[in-house]
Parts: sequence; C-alpha cells; structure tokens
Amino acid sequence: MKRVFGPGEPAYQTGPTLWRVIAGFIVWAIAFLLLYVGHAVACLHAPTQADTAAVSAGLVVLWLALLAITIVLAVRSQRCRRAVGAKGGHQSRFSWRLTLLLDLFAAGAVVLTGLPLLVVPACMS
Amino acid sequence: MNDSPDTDARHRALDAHWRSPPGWRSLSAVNHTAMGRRFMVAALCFFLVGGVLAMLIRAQLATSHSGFLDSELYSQIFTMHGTLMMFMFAIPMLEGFAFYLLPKMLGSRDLAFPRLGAYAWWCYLFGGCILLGGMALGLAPSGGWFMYTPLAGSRYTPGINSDIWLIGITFAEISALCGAVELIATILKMRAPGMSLARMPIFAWYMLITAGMILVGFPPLILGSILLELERAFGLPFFTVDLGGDNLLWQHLFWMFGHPEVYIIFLPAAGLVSTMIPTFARHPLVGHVWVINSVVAMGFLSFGLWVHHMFTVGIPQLSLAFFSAASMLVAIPTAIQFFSWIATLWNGQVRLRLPMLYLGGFLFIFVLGGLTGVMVALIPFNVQVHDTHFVVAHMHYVLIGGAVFPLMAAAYYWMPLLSGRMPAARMGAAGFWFVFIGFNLTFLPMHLTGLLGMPRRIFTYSEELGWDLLNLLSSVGGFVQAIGFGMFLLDIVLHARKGNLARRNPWQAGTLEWTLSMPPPSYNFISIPEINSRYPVWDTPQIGAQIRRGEGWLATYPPPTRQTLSVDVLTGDPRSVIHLPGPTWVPLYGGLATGVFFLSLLFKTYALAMVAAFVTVSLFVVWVWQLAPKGFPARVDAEPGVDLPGHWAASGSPGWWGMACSLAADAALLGSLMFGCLFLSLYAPHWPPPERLGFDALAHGVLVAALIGLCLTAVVASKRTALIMWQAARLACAVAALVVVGVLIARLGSPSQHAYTALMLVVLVYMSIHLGVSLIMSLYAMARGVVHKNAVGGEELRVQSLWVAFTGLSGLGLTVLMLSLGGST
Repeated sequence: MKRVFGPGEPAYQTGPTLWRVIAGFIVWAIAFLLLYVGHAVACLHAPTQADTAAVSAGLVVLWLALLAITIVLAVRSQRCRRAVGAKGGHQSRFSWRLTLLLDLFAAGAVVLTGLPLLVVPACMS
Repeated sequence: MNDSPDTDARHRALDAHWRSPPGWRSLSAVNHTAMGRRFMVAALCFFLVGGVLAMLIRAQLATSHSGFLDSELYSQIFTMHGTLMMFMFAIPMLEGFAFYLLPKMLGSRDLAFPRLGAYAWWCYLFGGCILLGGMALGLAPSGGWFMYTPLAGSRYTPGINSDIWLIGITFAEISALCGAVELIATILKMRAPGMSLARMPIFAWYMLITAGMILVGFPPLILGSILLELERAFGLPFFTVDLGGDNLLWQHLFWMFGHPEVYIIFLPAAGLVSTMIPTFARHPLVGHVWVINSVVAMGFLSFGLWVHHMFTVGIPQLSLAFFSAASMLVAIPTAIQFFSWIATLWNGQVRLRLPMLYLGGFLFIFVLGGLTGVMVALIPFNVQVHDTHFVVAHMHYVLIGGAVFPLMAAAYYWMPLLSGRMPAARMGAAGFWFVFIGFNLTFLPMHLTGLLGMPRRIFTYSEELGWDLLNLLSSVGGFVQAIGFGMFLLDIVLHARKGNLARRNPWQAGTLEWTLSMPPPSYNFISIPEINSRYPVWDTPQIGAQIRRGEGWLATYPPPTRQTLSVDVLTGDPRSVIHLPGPTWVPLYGGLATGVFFLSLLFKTYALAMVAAFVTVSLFVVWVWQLAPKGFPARVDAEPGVDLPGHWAASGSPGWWGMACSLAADAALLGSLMFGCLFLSLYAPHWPPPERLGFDALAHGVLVAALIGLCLTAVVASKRTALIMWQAARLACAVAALVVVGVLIARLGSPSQHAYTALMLVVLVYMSIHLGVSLIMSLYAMARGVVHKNAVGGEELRVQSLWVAFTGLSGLGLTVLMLSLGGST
C-alpha cells in the first residue's frame, strides 16, 4: 500500500507556529513604535508641565503593560517546553526552546528600550 | 558520476532536463547555479569600479590643497563609491552566494521561482548600468549615498544626476526584493525531506531573517525615491517646506532603510562565518539555538535604530533615548554570535587553512567596528563625531570587517564547489596580509582624523588644521589594501582555472552541498536524501554514496520534468512535487521592458513609459499563463511507495509563500506611506493645507462598499465552485472602486499646490494600481476558467485571493486615512 502525504494528513506534533516563535519580538516592535510615536504625538498636545508629566505617566503604564505581555508569553513558552519534555519530537523541543529564548530576550529588550522613561522627562527638546 | 552504469544513465537524463543552453542562448538560463554565479560576477565588477573610486578619493585627500579633483567631481566620486558598494556590491554579492549555495545546502534542485531569479538579475544589471552610464557621461549623482534633500532636490541639483540615482537604485531594489521573495519561499518550502527547522543549516536561518529584513527595510527607500522623483519631475512638494513638505521626511524614510541595510549586509556574511567555523574547528556550532535567537533578535532590533543617524536634527530627548537604548541593545545579540564562534573554536580541533586566516581578520576588525558602534550609539558622543571621518572609519570597520573579510574567506572555502579546483595558501595569505595591514592603516588613523574634527565629504582641507599626516597614512594604507585585493582576485582567478583538482568534500565539512561532485552537476542531487541531523555529512558519512545510487527521493528514471520536493515549513515532511520551468527569454524581455520604463521616466518620455509599463505587465501575464497547469494535476511517484501531489494542488505552496512575502513588502510600503502622511500632517510647517478633499457620502460610500465587496470575494472566491460568477463579482467591485478613485483624483486639483494634495494623489494612485492588478487577475482567472476549466486549482485561487484581500484592506485603511486628513470640504 502506498504512503500518501499531503493535505488531510494527521497533523504532526510540530510545536509553535512561526508567528508564535517571533511573537515576543512582535510585541517589542509594537512597544517601540507605541512609545516613540505615542511620545511624539502626545507632546504635540501637551503644552504645560502637568501635561508632560501625564504623558510620562501614560508612557510608563503603556511600557509596563507591554512588558507584562512579553512576560506572559515567556511563561507560557516555558510551560509548553516543559509539557513537550523529552517525549516531544526534535522539532517541537527545538521550537519551544527557541521561542522561550526569544520571549525572554524580547522581554529584556522591552525593559531596556523603556528605561529612559524613568530618567528623561517627556517632551524635552 | 561513474559509480554505476545506472548512475550514468540517471545523470544523462537529469542533465538533459536541467542544463542551461550553451552560447548566446545561455542568456535564457534560469537555473540557480547560473544566476548565483552571474550575481557574484556582476557584483565583483561593481566592487572593482567602487574600489577605483575609493582610490581616487584617497589620492585627493592624501595632502592638503590637492588639486587632483574639483569639488563637483569629488562629490560625484564619493557618492558613486558609496552607492556602488552598498547597493551594487554588498547585497547582490551576498544574494549571489545565497542563490548559488542554498539549494545545494537544503537538498533542493533549484530555487522556488527560477524565472523570478533571472528577472531579478536583469533588473540588477540594468539598474547598475544606468548608474555607471550616468557616471561615464559625467552625470553621476553627487548628493552623497543618502541623497539628502534639499541638496538632492531640483533647486540645488537641477540636472538629471539625482534622477539617475533615484531611478537606478529603485530599479536595482526591485531585484533585491525579488531575490528576498525567492529566498524565503525556497528556505521555507524547498528542503530535503526530514530537514525540519531544527535541522536546517545555520546559513539558511541567517538568509531567512535577512530576506525578511529586505522585505520590510527596502520599501521605505523605494517610497522615498518615488516621492523625491515626483517632486523633481512634477513639482509635487513632499520635501518643500514652503508648501507643506519637510526634509526630515526624507531622512526618516532613508534611514528606515539605511540602518537595517547594515545588518542586511552583515547577517548573511555572519551566516557564512557560522558555516565555515564549525568545519575548521571540526566541531558543531556551539549554542546553535542561541545563535538563531540572536539572528532573529538582530532582525527586529535593527529596525529600532534608524534615528541614531539623526541625533543632531532636533528630535525630542526622550525619543533619542529610545533609539540610543535600542542601538546599544543590538550589541548583545552580536556578542552572543561572537562568543559562539569563539566557543566553537575553543571546543574543536582547529585546522588553520587559508579561509581561517580571513575569518581571523573578520573577528579582529569587526569587533573594533562593533565597539565604535556602541560609542556612536551614545548621544553626546554621537553629536561630537557626527558627520566626521570617525563615522567613516566606524562604517568601514563594520562593513569591510563584517562583510568583505567573510566574503573573501567564503570565496576560498567554496572555490572547490564553484570551480572544481582547490586554492593554494601562499598568494592568498600574502593577499590577506596586504588587505589586513592596508585596511588598518587606512581606517585606524581615520578615527583620529575624525576626532580632530575633519568632516566627511570635503574635497580639500587647509594645511593649518594638522590633518596631513593622518590623511597621508590613510591614503598609503588605501593603496596597500588595493594591492592586496588585486592579489586576492588574481589568486582566485588563477587557481579557479589552474589549481589542483578538488576531491569531493575537501574540507571534511558537514553540510549537504559537500556531498556533490566538484563542481556539482546542473541538477545538484541525482536523488534527494532524507535528512536526520544538522550536519548530515558528519552524522551519516555514507549519505553521498546513497544519493548517487539513487536511494533518495525523486529518483524515478527517466525523470519526467524538472522536479524537486516541497516540504512542510516546520517539520520538513514532504508535501508535494514542484515542477520547475526551464530556460526562457521571458525574464530578459521583462527586464528590458522594465528598463525601458525606467529610462523613459529618466528622460521624461512618459508616453513611452506607459507603453513599457503595459508591455511589462503583459509579459508577466504571459509568464504566469505559461506556468499554469493546463490539465488535471496528477499525483507523482516521489519515492517507492509514496505519492505526492503536484505543487499547484497542495496548499501552502511556494507560490502562496511568494505572494505572502510580496504582500509583506507591499505592506511595508503602505506603512511607510501612512507614516509619511501622518508625519507631514503633524510636524511639517504650513499645515493645514488651504484646500482639502473633504467627505462625499456617495463617493466614499461606494468606495467603501466596493472594497468590502473585494474582501468578501477574497474569502469566498478561493473555492473552485462558481468560479466565473465570483470572479465577475470581484471584477465589478474592482471596477466600481476604480471609478470612484478616478473621480477623487479628478477632484483633487493641482497636486503641486501643497504636500497634502501631492500625498493624496500618491494614496489614490497606490489604490488604483492595486485595484487595477486585482482587475487583471480576475480577467485572468476567468480566462483560465474558460480555457482550462478543470486545471484551475484551489491554490491558484487562494494565491489570487491574498492579493485581492490585501487590496481591499489596504484600500479601506487608506480611505480612513484620507477622511481623517480630509477635514470638511
């Protein structure tokens, strides 16, 4: 009997999709854009000192929220990696390990990218 | 090829299908080996021209008050030097390596879209010829390789010099984008069975990320070039401050491309390094997953650095700090790769062969370039050295160290594969020391010259400034370096023709390309092997013999067509058999027609440009029609006991991935356009505009309805049922939307009155082009439905639907943008 590959075959245990693998850095990219564009646009409408303080506070909240997302992603990756364990296929183990590393790295990148919020006032030319 | 009579017969049969035609007909070749070689040879020629220009620069700057070149000629020369090296040498050379090597490393017989690869090469060649032609006629661009406005605008550069740059570069960038689409589809879909992502060669990972970066990084510059050319040719004031434009928009668009470009050049070279070091260390790459993690991280982070080229233009401090942080952050993944290479060498038993010498040079020089990179990431230091020779020195340490030294190592390493002959150590080593010493003599003093305050792009300087000695040293070093490059090239050419014949796998490497004979046959693999590890040759030493005995996949005798395998993206399980096209003149004709289009724009013969555009589109339709299956697709015996469908009958085909990648680039262009609109509306002086498009309930209502209709047909019409009906509905939606877009264009008024009207014109033209292509696609699908009724596959319709869905969604997004910028009538 012939083996038949193609659509309709049962799915393999393949681990995360490509989108999931890079999800952490997609969040970093969104964080970077929102902080940069958000700061630029908000400062156009923040003529007073109190307004700029509000801009800073808003950006910090945004930053922490996006950091939380990357942390959640990393925690979930770690759980999946553990669940796959030694029983999973080589591809699945590799993919979850890579995903976890990328999630952790992205979380670190979000932290470092947003750190200036704590030391540089918003809207200062 | 003499293992058995059976093998010989298989070789002859496969070669009959795959070999490129001889003589002048070889111009119709589309095979990846031919294309890879052509990219490399052409890039080398451009490198030589760029190198001669560099020597002219150094001759001029060797002493103060030099009268060798005047200001205008010097400006043309440094502009062309940067342009040729960045656009015509570095990326095409690395793409050439990828074109040549990847199918052989991945276990494929060719790239995913051979015709597209050939078209990319013609576009690259013709684009480069436009630039060189301009230089030969004394009309070379002179605004620097980044063409800042207003200097590059028509007021300060009134001739066609800037136009030559804008049009030549855009032409060549089409090539890079085509190459990126081709590489991504190949890497994801055309590997040997069993080659999961976990087992994929590290060079393929590097090229996958690089190609993705090209898709996102190049469109901002393409958009910028289009806008600047529109301003120069028709007076559309995108960068004219008095009329609502802003010069900073150009800087943003250029550096959104320009900074990732550095990593687009470095990463493939680092991929070559990561492939060569394990061979000479006789040890697998240490920290394989960490390296992949670093490459992906660099791919993303490199898009968060562009403003560090603009630290001095007056951007708010906090924004600068975001970019400064990201600029320093990128050092971490770079360092991880370095530690991985050092650890691999440390753990292995290193053989000091010739390529290792060049790799040592790379490690030393690139570390220095990386360190000065961290320095210029710091805002106060950056402000001090901005636009000085310090930046020139840093850039050359990064680019020559990070790309040229690995490329020279790679040329020696893969020479047996390319030529069938071995390099020898003596002249190659002498060449290395000339280049290495000459390089450091040129660029190390340049850090000091920069710190002493010598600006970039000046054609002369006063003796009292005390820069003479340092500049003389740099010039002497430049010529020493040039001698070294000459020796390297001579060595490569002589040994490629007269060197000792190479035996199979002369370096005892672990990757799949070394199972091939030296040089490889036209079809690469007589049968496609199953892969069970990351270094198949090390872990399965008999794999080469198994391939030659025809024990792998697609070993049917006689082979029916040019066939290779398509696999699952993640697992590498076989999914379908791809039938690839053979030699054809269509890519050359397409390249010529595109060239006529661009030249017509350059010489402002717009009627001819329209004709050339029509011919180009017609050729693409012919191209697709020729490749489409004409009958009911049969399954193929891929291995004894295994049936696979043809690629047109399987979902997630390379064609689908090709379209998805093209749309990713398109989305990056769209994003850049939206950024431009928002940037000017928020930041440019002289806004709001005196007149706006306003809201028209009927026109906008019809437009939105038609675009939503397009999206719906994209969801529904990917099924084969009622093909003609759904295509007709799609056609009607596209026509209705096109009519409204035409009406809105007519209402716009003169686009040269303000940046707002100019931008709205570009937005509407963008929509109309996408709608027009959707319309052509629908007509094409209807024609296919009538002529080849049973042959229209679901995948074909899914590919088409991707474009239509993008057209609908992007149109809706742009409509929202137009309305938000439009205000009241």
